[in-house]
Amino acid sequence: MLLGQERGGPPAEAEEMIGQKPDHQLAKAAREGDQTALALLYDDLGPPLLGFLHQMVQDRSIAEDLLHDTFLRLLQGGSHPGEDSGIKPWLFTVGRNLALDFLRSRRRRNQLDRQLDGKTIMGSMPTTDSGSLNDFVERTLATLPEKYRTTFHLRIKQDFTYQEMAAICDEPEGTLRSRVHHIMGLLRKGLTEK
Amino acid sequence: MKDRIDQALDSYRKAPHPSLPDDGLSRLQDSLSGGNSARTPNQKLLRYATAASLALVFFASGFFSGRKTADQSLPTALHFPRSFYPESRLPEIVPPAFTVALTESIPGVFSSPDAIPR
Repeated sequence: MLLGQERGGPPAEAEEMIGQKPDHQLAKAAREGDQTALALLYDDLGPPLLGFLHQMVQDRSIAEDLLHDTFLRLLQGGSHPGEDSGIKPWLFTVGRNLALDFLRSRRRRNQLDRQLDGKTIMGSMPTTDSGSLNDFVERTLATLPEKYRTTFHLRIKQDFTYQEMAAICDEPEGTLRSRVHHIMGLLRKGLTEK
Repeated sequence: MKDRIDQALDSYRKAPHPSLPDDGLSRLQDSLSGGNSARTPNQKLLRYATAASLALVFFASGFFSGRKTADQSLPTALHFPRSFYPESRLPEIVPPAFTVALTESIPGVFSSPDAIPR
């Protein structure tokens, strides 16, 4: 049975596994062919990772492809996350690297480099009812380079610590703090002018 | 002002994540079981293009190696050994009609080595 065909939530068997197995055991079970574990992991970690990838590449269909490839790396790739590092940071690291590869190749092909001229296409990312403030943040982020968007998203949206972000982005914590601080300044300025 | 910033961050933080694609999990399961449908359109296109290129190289190299005799052949990257083609297949690769037409169109040049004008 393909669990993916039932999108109404995890099945009963999966419900029992929630909270019982850490991500590492779920990933190990999924690698060994456990479809329930795979569905559980995908439903749990897929949406935040898709949001992150979308923030990076600003294209919904590309983000979905990258999400697919990232999960494939987890489930059949040669390298797997260590026991001491969580599955989520590992997935975000791999996803970010794949997204960077994509962005570099797109830049090489000299195709739509939307972030340089600020013509950002936001795709079909859903917005909330609390609308305007969230839209304001999204619009501000859309005018910034990918590194800034990524850093802010990891810190504010995904709630990673600076230490985890440094591992994911392979950059010093100070640099990441500085970027978040810079964006906060932009938001403050924008809200003042509003 | 601080409240306004906090509200903005809170609003951004609480905005729902995008929904997963409907066929995302089944695509993943297909990929893990080696199915073709799991590949993205770009991956499929790349796969077909690679297959077509390989087929083209294969047939082109077969054609050119088939036109050579064993002692004329030179070692090239695209060259297959003469033994790759059985003798019975050589006439199919270089149609006799083509040879005859060429010989007759320039008489004395290709018909015999002795007929080369001096």
